[in-house]
Amino acid sequence: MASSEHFVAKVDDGFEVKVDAVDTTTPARSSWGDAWEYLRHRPLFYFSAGLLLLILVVVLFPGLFTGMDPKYCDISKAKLPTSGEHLLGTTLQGCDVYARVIYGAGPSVLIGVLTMLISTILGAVIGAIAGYVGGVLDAILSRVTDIFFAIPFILAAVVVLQMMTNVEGIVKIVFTLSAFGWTSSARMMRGAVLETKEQDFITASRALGLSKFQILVKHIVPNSFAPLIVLATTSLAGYIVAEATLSFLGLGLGSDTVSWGVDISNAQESLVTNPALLLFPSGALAITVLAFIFLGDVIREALDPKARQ
Amino acid sequence: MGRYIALRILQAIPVVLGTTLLIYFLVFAMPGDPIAAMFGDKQPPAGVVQQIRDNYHLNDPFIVQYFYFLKGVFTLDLGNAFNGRPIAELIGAALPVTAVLAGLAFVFEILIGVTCGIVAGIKRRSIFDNTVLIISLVLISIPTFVMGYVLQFVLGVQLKILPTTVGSNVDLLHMLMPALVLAGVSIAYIFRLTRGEMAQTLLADHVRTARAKGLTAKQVTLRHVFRNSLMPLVTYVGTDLAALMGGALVTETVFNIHGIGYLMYTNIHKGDGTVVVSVVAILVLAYVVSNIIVDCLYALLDPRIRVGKKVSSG
Amino acid sequence: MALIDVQNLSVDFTAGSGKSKRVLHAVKNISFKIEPGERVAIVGESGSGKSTTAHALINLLPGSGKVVGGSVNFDAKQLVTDGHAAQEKEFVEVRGSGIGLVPQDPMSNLNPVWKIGTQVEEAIWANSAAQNGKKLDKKEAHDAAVQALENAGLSDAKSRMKQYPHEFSGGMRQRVLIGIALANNPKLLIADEPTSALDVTVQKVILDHLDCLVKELGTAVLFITHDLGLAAERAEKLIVMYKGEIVEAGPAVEILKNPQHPYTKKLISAAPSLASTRLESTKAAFSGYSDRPLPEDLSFSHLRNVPNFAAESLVEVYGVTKEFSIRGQKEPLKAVDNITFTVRKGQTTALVGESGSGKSTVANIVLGLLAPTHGEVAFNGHYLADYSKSRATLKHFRKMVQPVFQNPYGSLDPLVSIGNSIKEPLNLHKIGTKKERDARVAELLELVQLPNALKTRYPNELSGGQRQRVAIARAIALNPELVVLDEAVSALDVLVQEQILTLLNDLQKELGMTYMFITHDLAVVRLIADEAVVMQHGKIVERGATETLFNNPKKEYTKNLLDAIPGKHIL
Repeated sequence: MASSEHFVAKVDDGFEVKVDAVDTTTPARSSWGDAWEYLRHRPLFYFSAGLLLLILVVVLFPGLFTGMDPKYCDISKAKLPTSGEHLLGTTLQGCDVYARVIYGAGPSVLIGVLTMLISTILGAVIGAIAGYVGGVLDAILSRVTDIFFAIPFILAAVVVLQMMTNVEGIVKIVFTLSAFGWTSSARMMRGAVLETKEQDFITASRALGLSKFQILVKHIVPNSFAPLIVLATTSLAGYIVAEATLSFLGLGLGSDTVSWGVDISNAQESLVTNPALLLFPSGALAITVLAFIFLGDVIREALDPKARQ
Repeated sequence: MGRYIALRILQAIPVVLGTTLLIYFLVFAMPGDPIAAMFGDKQPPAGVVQQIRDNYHLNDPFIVQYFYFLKGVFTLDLGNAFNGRPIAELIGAALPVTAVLAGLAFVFEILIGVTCGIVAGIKRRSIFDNTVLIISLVLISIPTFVMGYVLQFVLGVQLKILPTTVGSNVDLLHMLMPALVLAGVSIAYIFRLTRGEMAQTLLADHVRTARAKGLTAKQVTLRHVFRNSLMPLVTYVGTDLAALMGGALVTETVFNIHGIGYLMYTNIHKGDGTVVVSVVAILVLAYVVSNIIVDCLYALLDPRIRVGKKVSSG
Repeated sequence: MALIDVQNLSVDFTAGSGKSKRVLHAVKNISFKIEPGERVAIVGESGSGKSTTAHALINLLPGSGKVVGGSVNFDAKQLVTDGHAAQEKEFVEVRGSGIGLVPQDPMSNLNPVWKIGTQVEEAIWANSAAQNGKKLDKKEAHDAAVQALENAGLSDAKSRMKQYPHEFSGGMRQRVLIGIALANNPKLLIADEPTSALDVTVQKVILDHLDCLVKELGTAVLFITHDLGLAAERAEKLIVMYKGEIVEAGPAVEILKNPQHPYTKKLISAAPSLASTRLESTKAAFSGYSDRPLPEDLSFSHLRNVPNFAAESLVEVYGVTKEFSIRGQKEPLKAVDNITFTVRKGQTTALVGESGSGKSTVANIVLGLLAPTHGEVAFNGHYLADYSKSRATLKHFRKMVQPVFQNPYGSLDPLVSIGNSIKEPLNLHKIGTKKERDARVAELLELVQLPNALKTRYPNELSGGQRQRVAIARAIALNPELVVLDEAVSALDVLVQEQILTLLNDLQKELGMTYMFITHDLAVVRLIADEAVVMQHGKIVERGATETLFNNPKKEYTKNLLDAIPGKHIL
């Protein structure tokens, strides 16, 4: 077409400029629904979720998987290799390794889940208050968070556990890990709240007459929660590792407890002669942790469209 | 910029005071008598007990004890350990060992983590990207000490390529495996961070503008994409250096390295709180100082900081 | 021979993979030519494919975008052949030296970490080898960069080279980007919405300067714009795109005066910059504003009566000043400086100003969200400050005054369904039974012309215009006296903008509401406002009836603003 020509496209019959037409043919979907729609199509999600489901069943009903008693040890059957009777062989004391791996899941997962819940909730509350109220309170809470953040996590846990000799078992470990684990969720929640606070719908809610507290609970917290879910999932994995590390250092659960960390710690001595004793509980631990890390990763992509590309 | 740095140093003061106080409280305000722990099952004579109590200011109020300790930290006079040796000397001997270990690990995480991250970030969803991504997740999932034992067993015992333990042989060859183990999880995190930042920056408007100028893909990647991804990376890497020194606790135990983590570990079991508190104080100081260095670096990298403006993304 | 010849170009975007793969045909089979030195504008709304077309020409399509058909010949080089883009090497050669690009948003298109000078020099040395066959030395590149910035109209270019982007205003950054784009004297300049992020007066100055430059250099220009008025004013030829296709193309004035395609006709009739009168409503007028019973306020004893509050006024603002203290600065910033004006019942009063004029601060003060530093605001015969003295009166005030904000993506809680968003005010103020509230939501959705089925949906499924209609429904749910519209239509496409303005106008006629309309766009003011208040640097420059203001502006600043409305001189 030459420059001066006036071109007009053929107008089809029934041509109509529809301004901003509403499409109600697709099913309704919230942003959570959107995330779910993404998850539904990710094999990794099914893989990790399925694995975690299996682990959950193992934790709740270990008896389904083995008829052996993990605490029953027969020194005459020590250091046996893999056999029909002892699927993964026996330990130095003659305990069944397979039964110990199955029953050892409980304490590890329980500590992970409890610590995750306590530290996430504690962190979320502190972070939300700091971000929402702002001012002097924010400055104080942020500095307190900095202080707890500055002490290397494992070091802090080691110090506390060493001092808390009169408290026993899982409670002690959950308390210690939570006491120093809440800082990341507090920082994240504070950032998310600060961002949500600036949105127009918050101002609109103020103009409607909602009280400060109503705005926080109804609009700010729900909209700031998404990144925390991802952090909670991956930190759960971190707490399971931390528990094992503390057991390895001899500061975790008592050696009479059946747990992966304890078994890994006990296996150190026979590393060269009997590496399988280390391999099986560590393998179980790594698979559990991997499942949580995978889940966290895929949820992050689902909740943050920017991470998908 | 000077103002900005001064502000950061000012903000670091409460953190140093707070952390040391917290640790001091945890160690000394908890039940249990440090002197009883010192002598184990033996019953010390009363005069000796009194002398020790005076030496360690144990009869003063808690907060006064803390300030004596703080004075010690800044005058490098940390008193003596229960075995009689000056704590400053113990730390002085252990610190260089850990510094070599952490430094080597640091080099590993930059070399491996950043390089893989750049390649994967540019070629997202390629075979390389997917493979390294999976490896990084696996790396994160395996506890450091398990990784240590596995490498010890495979590389040291089975293949006999590298020495299994360090002991008093503090040289590069002996430190190679421990450093790799210590760096493991950080490599994975740095890889993921670099990859994510690169991919994010690639989408930025100014990158398209740079290409529209006629720059080649390589020029754009180096001058614009990588340059801009550097800032969050520096933040992470900086705080990680201190974390490496803390993480050395596990690695040093596995490989029998007589560094600062080992010092702390053995004294925790001995119940020598003064040594423990001193070590933690040193580590916290390292964390705070590396944070301040990071802030300075950040200010150098991001001109928006220099005038004290808030940084927005981009 | 044409400088650039585009034949049957098609571009696709793909999303997802495997079964869930969806293909979007962003550009469908379009053809056009640009002669050397010619200025052509592609006009269209968002989603029309105009920017995609521009990016396809230099092979800088974002994301999954890919050329799938047609050919592009530029300056005797075949850039696209039978749907296949040439090697990246060829494009690197053409970019910068053959085709320059002025991008849309000056704030995000300069790299924040490099000096301005570095970024301009980069454009020069990247192309010097290709043009002169030799690499420039440092001094030469530096001098050429200073020259490029001076040409782009940046004053004091030499010392500005050492500065960073964050030290520049939007207008200055856009000059830098123009300098970069023209630094190598390209034969074609693509200007992608080059000034839509800038204030109108700055926009005009920059476009005027760009006009002079390209005329001098003989550069051909391809404008990409949503603004028909701007397109017609700046280009000889228009190409109108709709849903990826060219619906009409030809000489600018001819198309504007004699549009043939129904879409072009609609676009022209909706363009606010080409409009000359206020919107007329077809709805029956609300019967008598003065009779509208205002909620009884007298039961609240601490509400003092304002002496001499005019009967026809709803809001009176007396000498209001708002200062903000800035960290590290002794003098507070005066965002609003001693302003006085009135909003009349049942009318629309527009507050017009460029960025930094303080208009949004005034909006927040009238909404009772910010307290003025000095001065008073009176609403319906009582002091606004008195309303805030008790929770009951404040709630009562909130019922009467409601806002609608600019950003349609931020004004609704993404986790709350449309129905519940609209119902929130009814729940909060305990109006009616649950059944009555549901009925009211249906009624409100109908008022803003949205299907009732939408109430179970979420904001992320709605377009910007639809979200804005939901925000309006929520704002009028409590039958407010005053609705404060803070740039409520600024982020919307032309046709959607017109639709929302018409809706607002009809609602006002039907329900007898009063509007305070905050905007930077003088063209829109003419469509909707009865009175206008022009603000600059926190002060009122001029105020009066809209018609008077437009036909007979008294102040220089108002004249400049009017003059800057693009396309004003075409018809």
